[in-house]
Amino acid sequence: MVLKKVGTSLVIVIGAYALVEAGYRVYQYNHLLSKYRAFWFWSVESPLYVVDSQTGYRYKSDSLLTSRYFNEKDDLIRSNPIRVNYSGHISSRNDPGDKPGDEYRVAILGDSFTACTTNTLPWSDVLESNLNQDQDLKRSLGVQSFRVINCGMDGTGIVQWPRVYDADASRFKPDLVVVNFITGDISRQFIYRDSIRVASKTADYQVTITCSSLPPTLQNRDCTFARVIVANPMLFNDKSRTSEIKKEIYDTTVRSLPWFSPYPEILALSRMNGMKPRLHLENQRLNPYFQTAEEAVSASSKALREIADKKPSLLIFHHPTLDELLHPTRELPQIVESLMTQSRPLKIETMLRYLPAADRTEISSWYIANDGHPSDYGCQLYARAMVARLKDHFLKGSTVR
Amino acid sequence: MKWRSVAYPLIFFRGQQIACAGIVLLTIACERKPDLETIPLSHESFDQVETQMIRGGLTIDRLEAYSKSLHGKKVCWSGEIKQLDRQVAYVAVQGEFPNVELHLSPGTFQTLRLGRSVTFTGLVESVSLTHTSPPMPKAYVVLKYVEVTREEQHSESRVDESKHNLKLLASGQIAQS
Repeated sequence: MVLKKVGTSLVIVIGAYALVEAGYRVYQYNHLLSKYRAFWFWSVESPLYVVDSQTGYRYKSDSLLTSRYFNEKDDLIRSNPIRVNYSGHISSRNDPGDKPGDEYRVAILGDSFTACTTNTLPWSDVLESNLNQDQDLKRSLGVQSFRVINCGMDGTGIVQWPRVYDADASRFKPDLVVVNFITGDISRQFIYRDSIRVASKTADYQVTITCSSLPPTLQNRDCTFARVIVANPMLFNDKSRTSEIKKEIYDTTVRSLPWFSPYPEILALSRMNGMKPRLHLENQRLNPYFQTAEEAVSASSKALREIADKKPSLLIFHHPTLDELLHPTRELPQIVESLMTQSRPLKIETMLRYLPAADRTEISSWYIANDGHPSDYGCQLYARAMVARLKDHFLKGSTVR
Repeated sequence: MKWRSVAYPLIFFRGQQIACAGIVLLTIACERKPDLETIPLSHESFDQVETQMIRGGLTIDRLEAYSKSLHGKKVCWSGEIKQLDRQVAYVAVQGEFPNVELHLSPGTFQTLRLGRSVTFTGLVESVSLTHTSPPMPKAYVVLKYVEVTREEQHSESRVDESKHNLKLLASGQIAQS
């Protein structure tokens, strides 16, 4: 009798919860759909990113694309060409697999500050030209030429680069590996990227997504729309159609949330037992980050050691951002100092001291306004500073240990 | 027995009424706009907020702690209105993209126009991270209980308007004053 009563009560409670849960989901679905707000994006005419289970992604080899940046009102604000060579690196030159005996090779691992997808001139190309122009340096090293291989991948962090070294940089047999990181790279987790087709009534297009796990689909909660639309550029001349596409992408993202999952969403709203609500878009970040600074520094330091174990001829540089260069004392952020300390005996140097002193206006011109990535001018300066630092290395023989 | 059958529903009903009234009062109290005058103005600029947020490290714990540390602070900033939608103004305080969200009263919202420069005072609700793509971290601030203290036409709009007026003047459509 008691059991029957308990059973009945349980059924009633569960039934009531299921009803409330269903009601909440209907409400939340409509609420999210109504919350759409126009957003900025950039476009390319064909896919730039292809998923790679080893390295996270690779650039589609042998491509010449134009990236076009639009604001939330769909006005074109700037554009730049992106050249991907046969090896899948952002460069106007190809990287032959066979290495001549008299060639000195430098492979660079880094993020968008190294890849240079946001400007015309990758600094790695300028670095190669500058090194090749220095006859004295070539003579002193006994080489005929330098080749710089740009293994930079935008959006990636330090933890990703041991795998980029293994699967990509190492196959070019570099004499020297340069790790070039920005402060944010310490906090970034491993990412995957891919371009996926969206079932559309409006136009034929794809979107690029960033994921912290595979498979790369919008149904995977670890994936998010990376604000890149792959489509015929003519499409964006029509603003109303562009708006429709953007709304369609947003709606697709909302619909791909797990609306029919048995996960107790209402209980998760209380966040008890570490539960997290899944039916919202707030956790969608272009970059997944580590939870704590300790975790981030420890994982990044381990990754740097891994690269150094595989390639002892390694230099590690911190590439300053505009804010860091404009900082009154130019002191490094605490997280960079922590990485430097924890990675010992590996030596991490900041490029701050190799960049020229200049006023605010001049320094600002080294970066793209409203964006923060290096400008063409900034890349030229950075390449010059890197030449100075590499010459130090070549002539004094200093490496990270 | 009789008085009980009458009294119980009455007491129960009263209890419900009291509970309802309590909830309503609580809701009103929670939603009551704080007196902005009594809250001291924090002199942190948007630039400082962004710099401190990014320099502090982009880990989840640190970003949440930083957002909490600014919650409820009163700030006074200026920027250009980039979007207006459902009683919220999206303002670019720095750069081209909206980076401050102003939650406004219906009256204030109706007076605002796109492209105008505004000076506003409000309480920080949250500070979070947004990105350009490829990802470059930027700060995004949500302000509540916002009062717009000054609104003026954006310089570009003013230039456009002057050009337009000059054209009209030349064509004789408006009289020279």
